[in-house]
Amino acid sequence: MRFIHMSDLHIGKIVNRLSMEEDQEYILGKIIEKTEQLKPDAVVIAGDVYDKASPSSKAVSMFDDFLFALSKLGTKIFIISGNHDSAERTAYASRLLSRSNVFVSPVYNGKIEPITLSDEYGEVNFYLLPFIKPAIVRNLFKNEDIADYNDTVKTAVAHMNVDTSKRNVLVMHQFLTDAKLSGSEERSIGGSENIDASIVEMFDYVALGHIHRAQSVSSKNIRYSGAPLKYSFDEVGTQKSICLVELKNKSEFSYEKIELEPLRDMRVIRGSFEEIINKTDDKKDDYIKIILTDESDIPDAAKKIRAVYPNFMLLSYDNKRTRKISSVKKDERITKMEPIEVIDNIFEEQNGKKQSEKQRKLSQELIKEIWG
Amino acid sequence: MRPVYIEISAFGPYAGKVCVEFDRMGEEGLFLVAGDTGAGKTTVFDAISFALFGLPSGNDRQPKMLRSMYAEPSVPTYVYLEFVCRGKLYKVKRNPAYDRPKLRGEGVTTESAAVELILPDGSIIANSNMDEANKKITEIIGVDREQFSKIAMIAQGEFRDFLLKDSKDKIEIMRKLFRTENYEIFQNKLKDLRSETARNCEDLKKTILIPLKNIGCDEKNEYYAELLNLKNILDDKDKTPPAEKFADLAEKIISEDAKKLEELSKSETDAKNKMDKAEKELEARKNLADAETKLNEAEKQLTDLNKKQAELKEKKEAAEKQKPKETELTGTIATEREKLKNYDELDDVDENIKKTDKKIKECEDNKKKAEKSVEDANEQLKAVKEEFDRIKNAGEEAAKLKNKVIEIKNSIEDLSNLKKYAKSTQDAEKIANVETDNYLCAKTDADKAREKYNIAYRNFLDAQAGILATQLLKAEAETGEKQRCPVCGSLEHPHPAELSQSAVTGEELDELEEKKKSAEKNESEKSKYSGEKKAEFTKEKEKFEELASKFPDFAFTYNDSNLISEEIENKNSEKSELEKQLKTCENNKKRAKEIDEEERQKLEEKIKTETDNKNEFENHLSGLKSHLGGLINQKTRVLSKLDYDSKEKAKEHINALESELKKLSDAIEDAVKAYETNKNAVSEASGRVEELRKSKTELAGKCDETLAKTATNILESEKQATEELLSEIDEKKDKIKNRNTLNINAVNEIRDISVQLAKDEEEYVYIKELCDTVNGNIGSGKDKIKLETYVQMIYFERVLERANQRFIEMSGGQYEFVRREVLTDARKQGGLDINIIDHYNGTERDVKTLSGGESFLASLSLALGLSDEVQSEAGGVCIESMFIDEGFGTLDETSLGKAVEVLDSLASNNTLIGIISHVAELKNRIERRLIIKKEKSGGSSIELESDL
Repeated sequence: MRFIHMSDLHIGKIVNRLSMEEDQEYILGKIIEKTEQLKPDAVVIAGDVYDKASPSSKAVSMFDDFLFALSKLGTKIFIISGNHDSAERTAYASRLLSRSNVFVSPVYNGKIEPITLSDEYGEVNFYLLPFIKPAIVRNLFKNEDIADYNDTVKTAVAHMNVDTSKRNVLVMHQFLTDAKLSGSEERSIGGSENIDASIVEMFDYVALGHIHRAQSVSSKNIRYSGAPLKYSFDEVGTQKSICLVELKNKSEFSYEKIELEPLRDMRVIRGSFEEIINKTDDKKDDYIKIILTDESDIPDAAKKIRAVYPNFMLLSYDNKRTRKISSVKKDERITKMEPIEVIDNIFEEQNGKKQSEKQRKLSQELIKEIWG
Repeated sequence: MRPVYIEISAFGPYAGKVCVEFDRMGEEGLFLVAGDTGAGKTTVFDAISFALFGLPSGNDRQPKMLRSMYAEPSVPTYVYLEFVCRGKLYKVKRNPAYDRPKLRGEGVTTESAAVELILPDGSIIANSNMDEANKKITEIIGVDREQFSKIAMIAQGEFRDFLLKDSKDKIEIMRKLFRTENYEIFQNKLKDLRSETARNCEDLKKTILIPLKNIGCDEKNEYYAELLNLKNILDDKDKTPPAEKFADLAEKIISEDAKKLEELSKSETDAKNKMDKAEKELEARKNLADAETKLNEAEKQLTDLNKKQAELKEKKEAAEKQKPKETELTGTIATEREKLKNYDELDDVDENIKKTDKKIKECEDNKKKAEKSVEDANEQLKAVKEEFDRIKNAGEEAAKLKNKVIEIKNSIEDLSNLKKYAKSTQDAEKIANVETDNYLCAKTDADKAREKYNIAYRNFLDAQAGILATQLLKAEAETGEKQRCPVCGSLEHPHPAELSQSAVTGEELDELEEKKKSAEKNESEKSKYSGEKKAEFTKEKEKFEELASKFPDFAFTYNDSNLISEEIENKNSEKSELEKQLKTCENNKKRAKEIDEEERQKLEEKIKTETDNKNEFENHLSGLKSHLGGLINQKTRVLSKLDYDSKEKAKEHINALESELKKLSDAIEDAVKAYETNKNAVSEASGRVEELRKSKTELAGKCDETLAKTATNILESEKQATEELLSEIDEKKDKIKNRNTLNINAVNEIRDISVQLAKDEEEYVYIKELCDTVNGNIGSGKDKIKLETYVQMIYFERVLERANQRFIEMSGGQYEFVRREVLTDARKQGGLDINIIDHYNGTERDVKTLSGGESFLASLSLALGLSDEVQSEAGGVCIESMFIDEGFGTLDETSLGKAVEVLDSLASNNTLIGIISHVAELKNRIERRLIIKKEKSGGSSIELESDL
């Protein structure tokens, strides 16, 4: 059984006020190409198809095209909703779509029926678990004690009644403990959302979504495919990919990273303004974050830079001043200045000389009188 | 301050009671308050703010607006808040003033604002101490409402407040937050000290002028010109008085004067000695001269006295010869005194005469009065008699009139009856006529009916044949058999009668007959009735004519109602006339009776009595007159006995005699006395003469022999000259002494004051410097920065530093706060204005140029920075929660994401942050939510949702 595992398309995402639609369209096209080449049995999209619960019309039509193109290739397609998607909207027409070999996870109702594919080794059960929050599961299983995300997924998995004699693939969109973030994930506000990898160990492969950096967690078969595009400058320097997984016998599992080249890369350029303006050796339409090392601000820096790099996204300075700012820690208790010191300082600043003996004595007397 | 539990009742849009358990949201993290517009989201924050400070969160609503309009009148308005501060639980319940219906009786009463605070140890600060409770709460939390609204509760629409305020306003807020007032006090104290010192210097400068002016110098003195010069300088106010020079000069003058003084003293002593000697001699000479004069005088006096003595002796002897006359006079006086007694009798008689006169007069008056009364009474009697004659006959007349009245009344009655009869007659006539008409109608009807019936009967008869014929034919047609003719019995009917169209059936005929009968009945009835009415009419008429016969003059007919009425009128007026007359008559009759019975009698009696009185008085009068005659005789008799006419004259005479006697005695006495006195004086005078002779001889021996040669006048002039010289010297000495004292004092004073002045001026210099520095008054060109502002600037920069950390992040590295250094207006206090550095184009510009969303991010960062800085100060303030009301709607996707990230990182630091927003994305991202719904029935409800 060979299938492609991808996730976190975030179609329609806007990064630093620039729309990524064009790049997404390009990369989706590239994925279609690769799929055509590789001819897998299935394609798994592990959540966050869209960036918003109500995506823009362009986004919807882009995914529509993508899905159609994929289905034309004849592979089975598995989709779950992520934390950015609206579970209900994703599940729209899912029952109809299943007739066309596109299997979308329905809104979680406590029971998950796996979709079974067969190959020469037997059956493979695909369990599609959409993104769930504790409240949902708590509502469905009122007797169970569900305190956090960990309990949530544990309960959900328990109710799947997995037959471990067969090969089982879980498609899930959650945050696992020890996974490395990449800076563009949206964290849940107000709670601990991580779950333990041990809960899903029984599956032969866990196709994860949610983290945008491709990585395995705890064991090789529990894997995030990562997002197909870089969505934050923290990911600069990494290579984006999708995953081709091969399941032979029960414990035979291998995977391959299929690399993706984007239309426009995300890069960080650092240097003085002069250097940057005069650089000639790189792609000018990439998404750039520019760090200027000049000591003083360049007037109209942004405008001038945009003339050279039309898609530049962020501009910041790294000089003495900025270093000073960042060095102020939040909780640092700055020692309070004694009143007499304050007066010394202001006197020196305004008059260019120190207080005389008598003046200082008078100041101290008054200070004693007032402050006690 | 972190809220744990809140209960809101009848507050804002909440009609009933709603409660929120904040502790279910945990001790830290973000939570969202979402709901429909107007559901009550801001009200939750208002409630928290109100419970703590008595004021809602923004500046738009007033506490008296807080009662819910949807609430039942019986539901009370209050907010109950439990909050934790530094680990301890406090409970506060507060309600605003509002009107509610009375518990007993009708009407509305005002529930006054009240607050109740329960401290962790259980003690309660209740209602009556609203100020105390408020103060305590401010103490517990560490900030007052102003500060709270800047750093912990950022109300809707007010987040730009702090960002855009003037430096002046910011100074106020910073002062409250960072307690910099002490620096202001320091400034003010220095100011006071400076003015005090300045004043002292001025005073001293003025004081020193006095002694300077006091320095004096003799005009001939060599230093005089110099002194004048220096004094001129004093007048020039710009120059400082050269006190030292003055002092030195003065000392020189002083020493000179001292020398002079010595000289003068010496010459004084010499002159004095000379003068003494001269004086003594002159005195002795004077005394001698005096003594001689006195002696001469005394001798003269003696001679005079002796002369007088001889005179006086003579006089004495003459006086003694008068003595016998004295005795005579005394005798005469005694006799006259005896005679006085006789005058008393005269007085008595006089009095009696007066009394009798008076009595006589009285009696005459009374007599006259009585006479007059009699006259009056007679006249009255006459009048009454006349009246009586006139109305004697009143009674008879009255009777006559009465009869007449009765007559007229009767005739009036008759007339009215007549009128009635006339009317009834008329009526009867009318009815009779009507009935006659009716009868005629009925008759006509009956005739018509009769005719109709007759015609119909004829027809009927005529038609019988036709009917029979028709019936016959019909029967034949029906049965098909021939029928016999009922008349002739034939079976053949060659010519059946035809039924005429206007055939009348038997029934119709019967009908008509009925009708005819009823019409005839009607007719006869009516005829009878009309006859009756006519008879009635005749009867009435007869009745009328009978009565009318009583008035043959008028010939009334029953149609003359008007005339009758007229006549009635006339009679009525006649009647009233007569009645009036009758009344007068009756009155007269009464009067006549009165007169007869009473009045006449009374008057006659009166006349009698008065006449009697008159006679009495006449008698009395004659008696008195005779008495008077007797008394007059008596008086004449007494008078003849006396010498004088009256007692007074006798007394006068006696007094005259007495005074004569006195004169005489006195004269004698005086003469004797004078003689004796003079004798004494003579002896005295001779003794004195002897004495004086003796002393003269003595004094002559005392005169000085050395000076015997110098004539007295020369001595005198010498003495005078010396005297003059002495006084001159004295004067000069005095002048010099005075000047000296003044100068010495002046010099001392000058020295003292100069020292003090120098010290003070030095002090002033350094105090002024310090004061100016601290009060921001260092000349021009330097920033006008006061000490307090300087301190605040330091804090402010720190605040901006902290704020920048967040602001740079939230604006994607584009914006940064910086404190404005250059003063926009050198007159205004500056120092706390904020500029923005835009890194994207490297410019610095005013913070007011930011867009709405950007200023929200700026204000949020600033609030966070401010809150951080306040808390990092020596922990008076502990902000464990923060509330942000709206503002997120102004942000785009990217900024919103960044802002929420910043808040999230803040929240995970033991802070509970509440956000009100209806941005849909936040609902998805924030997992704990308070959903506020507007109920259809009015009022709102709160639900806590959590995805965890």
